[in-house]
Amino acid sequence: MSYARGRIALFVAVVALFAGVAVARRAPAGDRQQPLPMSHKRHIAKDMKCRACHQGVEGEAMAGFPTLADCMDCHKTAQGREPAEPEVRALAARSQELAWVRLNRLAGHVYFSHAAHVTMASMKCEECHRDMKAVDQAPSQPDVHGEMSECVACHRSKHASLDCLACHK
Amino acid sequence: MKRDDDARDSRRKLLAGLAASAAGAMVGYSGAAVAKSAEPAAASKGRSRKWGLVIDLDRCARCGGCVVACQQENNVAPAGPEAAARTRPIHWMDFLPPAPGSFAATPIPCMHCEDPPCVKVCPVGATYQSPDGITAQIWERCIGCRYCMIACPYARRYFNWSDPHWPGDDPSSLNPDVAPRPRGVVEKCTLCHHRIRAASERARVDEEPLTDEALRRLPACAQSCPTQAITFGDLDDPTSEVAHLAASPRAVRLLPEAGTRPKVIYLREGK
Amino acid sequence: MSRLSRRELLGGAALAGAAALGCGRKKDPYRIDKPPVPRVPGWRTGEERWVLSTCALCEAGCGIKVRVVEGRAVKIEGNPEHPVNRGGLCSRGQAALQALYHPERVRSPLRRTGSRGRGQWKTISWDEAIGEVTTKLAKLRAAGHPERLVLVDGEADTFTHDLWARFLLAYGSPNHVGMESTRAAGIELAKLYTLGSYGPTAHDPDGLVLAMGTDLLESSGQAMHFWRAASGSDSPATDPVTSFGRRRVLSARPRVVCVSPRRPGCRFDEWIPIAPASYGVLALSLAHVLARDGLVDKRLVRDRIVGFGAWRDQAGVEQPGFEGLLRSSYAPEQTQEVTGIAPATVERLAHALAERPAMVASDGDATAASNGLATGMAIAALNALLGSFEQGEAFAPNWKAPTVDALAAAGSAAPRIDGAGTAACPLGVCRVQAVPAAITQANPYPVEALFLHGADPLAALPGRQAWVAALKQVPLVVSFTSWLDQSAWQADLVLPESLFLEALDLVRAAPVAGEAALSLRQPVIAPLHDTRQSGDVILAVANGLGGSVGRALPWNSCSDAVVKSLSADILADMKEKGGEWHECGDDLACTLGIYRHQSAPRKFEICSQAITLRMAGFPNTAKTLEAWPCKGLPPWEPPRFSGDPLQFPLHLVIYRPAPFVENGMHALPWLSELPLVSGNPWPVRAEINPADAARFGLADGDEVLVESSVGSCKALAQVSDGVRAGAVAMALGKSGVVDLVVPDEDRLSGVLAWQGTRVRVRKAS
Repeated sequence: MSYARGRIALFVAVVALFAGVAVARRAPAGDRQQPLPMSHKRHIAKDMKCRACHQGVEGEAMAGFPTLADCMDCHKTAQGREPAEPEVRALAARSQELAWVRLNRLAGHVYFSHAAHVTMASMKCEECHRDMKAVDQAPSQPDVHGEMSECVACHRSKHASLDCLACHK
Repeated sequence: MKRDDDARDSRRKLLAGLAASAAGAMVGYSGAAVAKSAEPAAASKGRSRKWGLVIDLDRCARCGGCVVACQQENNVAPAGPEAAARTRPIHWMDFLPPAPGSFAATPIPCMHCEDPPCVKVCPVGATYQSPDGITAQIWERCIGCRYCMIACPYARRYFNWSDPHWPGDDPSSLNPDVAPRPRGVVEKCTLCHHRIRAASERARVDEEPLTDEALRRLPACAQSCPTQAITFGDLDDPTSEVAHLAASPRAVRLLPEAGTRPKVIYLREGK
Repeated sequence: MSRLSRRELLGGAALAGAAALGCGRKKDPYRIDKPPVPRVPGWRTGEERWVLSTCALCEAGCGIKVRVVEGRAVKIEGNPEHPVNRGGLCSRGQAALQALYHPERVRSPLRRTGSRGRGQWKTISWDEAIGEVTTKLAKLRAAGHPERLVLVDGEADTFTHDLWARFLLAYGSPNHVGMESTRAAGIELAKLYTLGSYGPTAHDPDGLVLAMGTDLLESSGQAMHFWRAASGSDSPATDPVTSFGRRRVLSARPRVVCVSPRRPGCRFDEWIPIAPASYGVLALSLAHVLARDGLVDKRLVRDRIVGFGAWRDQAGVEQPGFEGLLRSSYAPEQTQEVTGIAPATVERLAHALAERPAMVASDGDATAASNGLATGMAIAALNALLGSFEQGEAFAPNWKAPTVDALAAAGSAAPRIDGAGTAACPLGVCRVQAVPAAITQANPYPVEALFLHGADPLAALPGRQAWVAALKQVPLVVSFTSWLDQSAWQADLVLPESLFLEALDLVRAAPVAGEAALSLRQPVIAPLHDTRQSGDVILAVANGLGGSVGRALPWNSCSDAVVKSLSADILADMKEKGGEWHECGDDLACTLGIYRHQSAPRKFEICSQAITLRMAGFPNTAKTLEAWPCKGLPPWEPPRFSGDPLQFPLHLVIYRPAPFVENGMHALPWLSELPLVSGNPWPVRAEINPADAARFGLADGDEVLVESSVGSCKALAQVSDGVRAGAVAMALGKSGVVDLVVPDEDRLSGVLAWQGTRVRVRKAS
């Protein structure tokens, strides 16, 4: 193998590497099945607030998902006629836990606090998340893609902290 | 192998030299070393802070609690006997080896210098000084060139020679607030900035001021200290405990001749 | 480019071969979180709680609070409300997380399948395991030999320990063998014989603390207390803010003077090197100076102390007192030869003790020699002369004594297997190191079942071969343990014990000065594996045995027993004794009982009637008693050392360093790696004086072989002026060190002579 051909091979390999990594990171997420066909639309239609189920959204870093006990606060008795609803009680009867699948995940070195954004900066959920009023099925795809440039642009426009340590851990 | 030995020797010599210097500083009154930090002007600037630690060597019992507290809080994996033999254990909070003929209890975290030499040499901006005075390092940016390790006169930076390995590879006990560092990056004390961040966030959500009292034992090392030898706080706040302590005639800083102006201040034994 | 961090870029290039040429392995977008952690049911994402409990890594009983995130314990901190530690926590308690998630924990009950010690196990269910134990114990009772059950128990301060004791009482075995003879029995027995009971010393070190031995300041259950006291942490007068960072007023904190062959690794003010195992004669010498110079409080002696001057025994015969003994001997000039301490130093120390409120404090290492009890008595007597001997009541559950059947009564009356309280060991209460010989010789009777609870004698005690041989002869060996430790390895059944972070228990804090706390230990997380706490197992076994045994232990579970034993009348009783309940929140587990010692003042017997009575009970020891100059006070004799002084010229000084844990947890990586020594903290080190190093041609960092008459151990030489000439100091807990020790003992009290071995050190070839 000549020196030149070797260099070309290396170049191809490196380009392929970058392309491969970039593709992997941008790969669309496959659908994830949630344990229950829970409808945000119906819950919001009953005038429920986000914090009713995502209890940490105002005071903690993580908004969190409801446990089965939280669901049972209302669903102990039938609230509607949807075929999925009795499943909640069936799960509770078997004392099983709801294994919600977390869709929006942060990279391991990023810190994000819902309390800081929702309570301290008075941001609306819809500024980052999709409008859940219209979502009739259990979400199966992430809706926040969290590019650092987006974070920085917003922090800059709102004069929020641009210190690396504000968001990195 | 030879190179390892050299590296080991040089690190040991460095630390021993530091210990001797520390012992010297602790024994004699060193005018140059006294803190001149509590400038009232800074406090009037509102929320600007200058975080610092004061370590009272007269109180330190040398129990080692702060060392484990730091490792647990910051997900520092144990190195194991083989790596330890090559001076590779990571201790953000370490103890200086006792100088010959003396008993010295000198816990030594990052000095969080006001003029940090490590920051100047970083080619990629992975380490920088935060507005609050923390010498910070963003692990994801680090390329592992280790210039900063050479620049630091206190040997307070550590290179990850291998991926962190927890007993049984069980990550259950990891603190979710601190990212584990992979192989090939340099890591260091962060003054538990995630605890500071959490405390100030909590204070703002609850609409209560972040008082000096709530700050004093905030970093993991200070929290764990049975004798309360370690105090944390805002050096720019003239009413804070650290500012009081830093003004003590017992206050000394390590290697004042290096011109780094550490924000970790020792109170030496003696009157 | 912005999406690719530089590190990923470089890392990717290194992996070019695999990743670039597109093996097409897509990164799972849901797995960015690294490393992934297991889910725990019942927890919201991001949910966290702080759970209060009590530490178990030493007997101090510090309060802890544990951060639990999504059901995983991630951090242990001290509980600021707890009276023992007020928020601080030493390295050991914090490292306990590594024990909780240790990969080698036993995950379910195991039954041995191969021959003993081969390590072949079969997983069995708890019902099977409990059934097996119950069947064996029922058989033993049916055969009329309940005394053939022996329990070696490493715990002493917990409710579980009390449950075990009650079980053995109801079952009919006298063989509840604790590990005290290898720990602080010399000090504790002296308290028993001079004051009538064990118990907390109710004396605050606010003046001078004379610490005998280094363990007290490094790893003992009292270390936390002395660290805090010596730094003035409790005194509001020394608040760093009000004192503006000036050094604490000297009089506001105790001054700690440590007497030991080795300089302690933790805080002290002055170190006085002393010859190994000669603490007793130093105490007597100090007492001599106090008596000679009239520095003893005459009123105290008249009202509270028996046996200082001439005294009358129970028969009304006048006996010579301690004072006469002191006048005639133990002048500092005479004791210098034994202790190696200059007379001027002794005089200075004695006067310093008399000037300020002072106490002599020590842990097991001061009395771990062939003269252990005499040393303990000398230290106690010196404390008495200093007026530092107040004692408080210790907590005991409000149980009525169980009704036992005739079989149990007969069994309990049998002589103990370890010979404690017999002619072989007249003044001891336990003597675990004698168990292997007793089993091997079936003397006084064969052992049919041996239970090990929180104890690994094979690893923790000298004489491993004797233990292995003895265990071979026992038909059923059951180990209640969290790890397959060396003893469990030789067992027939291994019943995995829940770690203290998964269990409910009640803990008496170590008897430190001032006040004693009683704290609850509650499960911080649900058991990670199929483990149970031994209290629950023993209740199940008692239930299975039924009859009087079952009736004596009627509770369903350990937590049921704890809650029922903490009834309202206990609380009232504690209040009556000057105790006080601190309730922090409505959480049961942070309820703490704190005693202040206000019990009626007791008399201190320098010349102990209890000792006289016990010794007079056996013909051979009664003769010994006659020869003592003071009746009821064992005379101090120079220590006996094992090994020919010509062959083995150095004394082995055994110490327990700051990260040492009695149950073996010091092997946790974080503790093994504590940077408290210079250089690599992992290897075994032999600390040796520069003079000795020069004499034997050793340099710092040399690989050396330390040899005694029974074993040898490789170590790194550490040449240090922190060790007295003529001694080699080695840390207990490092592998091989315990094998150097010759298992000699104090023949009066059965205290194991850790400090009684001679060694030689040479370069490893």
